[in-house]
Amino acid sequence: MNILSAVLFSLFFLGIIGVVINRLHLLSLLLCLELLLVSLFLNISTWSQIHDELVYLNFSILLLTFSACEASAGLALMVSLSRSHNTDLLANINLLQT
Amino acid sequence: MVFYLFMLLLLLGSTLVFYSLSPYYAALGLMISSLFGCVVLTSLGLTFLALLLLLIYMGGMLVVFVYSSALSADRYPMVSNLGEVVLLFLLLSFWVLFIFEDFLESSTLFNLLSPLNDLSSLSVLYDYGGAYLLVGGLALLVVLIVALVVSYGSSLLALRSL
Repeated sequence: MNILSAVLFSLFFLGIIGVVINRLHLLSLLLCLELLLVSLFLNISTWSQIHDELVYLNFSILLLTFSACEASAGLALMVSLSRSHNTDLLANINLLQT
Repeated sequence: MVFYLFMLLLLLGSTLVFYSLSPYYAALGLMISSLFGCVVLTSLGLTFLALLLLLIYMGGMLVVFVYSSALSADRYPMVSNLGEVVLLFLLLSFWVLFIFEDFLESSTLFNLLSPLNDLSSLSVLYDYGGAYLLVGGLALLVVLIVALVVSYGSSLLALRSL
């Protein structure tokens, strides 16, 4: 495996771990989700350019569009949560806890 | 050789997103990683995709992130842990450079024949793939309405009443 594939794989893996294990802020979780989607875009684009399959370049542009949709929906949720709880910290969003 | 430096800077941006305590440094890391992702795409020949990523990601989505974090995130976040981020970046770069030792073939980088691949595959989106364009536009419209409804909640006034 070459170095570019290793770097893009580690980007993807850091994004997944950053979404799963998140300590403090909701905004850093959303930013790790954006890192995940950027790594997917870079992965599909470079893989299809290196292996000469040009169909998937079209798909990666649509992926970018839907990642923008997802980011804006997540940010609207964060704004609404921060208005009701007055904070962004994940430890304080515990109204549903037993 | 400069190409591998740009790839390591991409890795630096991603460790900044992943490991920083304050979300403002994470947004900076996302900007850095998308910028150097554009550089990687350009050196492979996908110049139009790099332009799209720069315009839409940095010019659209990160601006929205900055505005909504000014609206809702903490005003005084914790002190950053940049030393640990740099240490994690050095560990990951040593892992990448010394275990995965295959370099890219020199025919794929800076190839003068390939810069029209992304344009010619995007033109299908307007011709035979018109339905995908329509669905994408409708999805954006739906998400616009969703963002407005979710962030306004049940109040009919302006968003922030301080």
